[in-house]
Amino acid sequence: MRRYAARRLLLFIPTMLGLLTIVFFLGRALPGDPAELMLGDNAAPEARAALRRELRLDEPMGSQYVGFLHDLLRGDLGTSMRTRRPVSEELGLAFPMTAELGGAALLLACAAAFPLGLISARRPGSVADRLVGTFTTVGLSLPSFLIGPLLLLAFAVLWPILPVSGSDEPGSLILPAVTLSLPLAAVLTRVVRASLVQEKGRDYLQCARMKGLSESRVYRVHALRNALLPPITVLGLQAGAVLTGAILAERIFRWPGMGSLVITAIKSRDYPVVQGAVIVFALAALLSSLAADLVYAWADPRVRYE
Amino acid sequence: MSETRRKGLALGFIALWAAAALLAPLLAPYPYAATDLSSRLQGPSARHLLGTDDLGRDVLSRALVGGRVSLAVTSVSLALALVLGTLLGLLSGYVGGILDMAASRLVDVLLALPGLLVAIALVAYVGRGFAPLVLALSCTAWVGYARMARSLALSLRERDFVLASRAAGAGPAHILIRHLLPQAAPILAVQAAAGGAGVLLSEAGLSFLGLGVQPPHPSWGEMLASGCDVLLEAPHLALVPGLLIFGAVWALNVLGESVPQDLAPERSARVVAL
Repeated sequence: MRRYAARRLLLFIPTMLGLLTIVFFLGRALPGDPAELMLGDNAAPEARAALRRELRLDEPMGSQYVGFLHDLLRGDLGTSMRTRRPVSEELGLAFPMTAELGGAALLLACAAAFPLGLISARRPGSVADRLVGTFTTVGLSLPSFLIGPLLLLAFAVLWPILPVSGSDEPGSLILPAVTLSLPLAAVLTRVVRASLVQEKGRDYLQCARMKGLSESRVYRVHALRNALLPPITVLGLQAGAVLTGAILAERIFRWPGMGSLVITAIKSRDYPVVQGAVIVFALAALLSSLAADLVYAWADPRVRYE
Repeated sequence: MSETRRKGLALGFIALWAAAALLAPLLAPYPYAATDLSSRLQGPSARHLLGTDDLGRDVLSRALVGGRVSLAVTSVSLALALVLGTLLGLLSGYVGGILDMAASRLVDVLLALPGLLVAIALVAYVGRGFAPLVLALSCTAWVGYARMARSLALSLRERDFVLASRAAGAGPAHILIRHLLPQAAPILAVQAAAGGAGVLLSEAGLSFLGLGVQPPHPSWGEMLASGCDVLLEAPHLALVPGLLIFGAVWALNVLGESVPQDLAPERSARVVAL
């Protein structure tokens, strides 16, 4: 296990480096002078020169690249053009909000998908299975920016028990988290069901039954552990997408996280903040797929010896 | 609903959408940007069949023109992604070497990232409007086609007909265009059919965030976002574009699923909406 983890961690480094290189070149491939784009046409030449120095635009490309990586390693992401505060500080305020939303959505999706998948896999074709199937079909066709307004409308007009906007009240997290989790819950339910159905006729289940275990225990304990791998992969791949998707849910429910920070930064050409946010989102996506790989190896010893 | 009925309904929706997009300037009862502040946020009526928005603009006209934008952006991006991905994938699979290594690393990194993030990052740096939007969407979508084309090229290049052609003195360009491309095209076309819904969703998502085509030009995503801001006063402003996006994604998903079933049953896949 330790050797597998070390190898997987080593593989993470070139991927991250490739990503940072892409981000670096995106920033330099801007049409025109970035300093001029950020400050506008009628900025004083001195201000422009100062910004060019701050962004290292006067240095050759190679030393710009090394400087970029060096600053990153020290946790220095530059200064926001709009607020003049360090980008790391801005991200430090916004990211926990988005992580809270994304984490809640992941938990909700798991809490829904595993029981639903179990129920529908036990008797394929039953009423319960068909109901769960309808849920997953609807969840898969409705992106979060359609579910969100519907939920908002329902809870603001028809059944006003939950706060529908902002993040100050205790229940504020519920609606955006549900919105964000529904599509993932739908995918995950399908994967859990399909994976469990595949385990159905296996001998070890018969063996567990012969020991006298109840049918629900046979599924919950024995089949589920063996059926765990596909859902783990999907979770790892989707966790990053859920975090990015939070930008959409945040816009609907006015949740003050990375979404508003990124959109404002893009519209005001605040490139240091955009770059920092892109790096944070990408890092989160890469780390979650790394985590999925490690959990995968832990859950299935065969993976480690590939 | 039976499979044929579903397919028929999906085809019908897309045909209607395409017709409305083509004829939008003729069908729209009002100019899409004509504001009328004396009749803001009105519900459906005989004068405005789908009501008016927060600036008094006719929602039906904006929905028609917005559908034109969504259809144009989606199809151009998908076509561009398919061509780019196919060429680069075939080339890197057939030629190999350093080109293949660089392309594969790029594909790996892009595949590890959420598509929406890549698209947002590109729009952030390139700018907003029709062309940047198409660029961002096709740069997100080409990766899948490139990977598929590369693996096809890897297996095709060992086949006898390629060897024969090479023995006859054909260069890489000739082999790529005349031998690899025709073999790979049908499989990639199936993959592209399944990709339509994803591209449309990304387009709607970016427009929803205000990163798509720019106002006053309408798009369904932008209409939905501004409808969300006045959801409680005028819910129809969000419901109209919301239903249109839902219908379009659903129709593209149904067709995307049915094409592989008709051509290559093992490749059926569904787009995940996020």
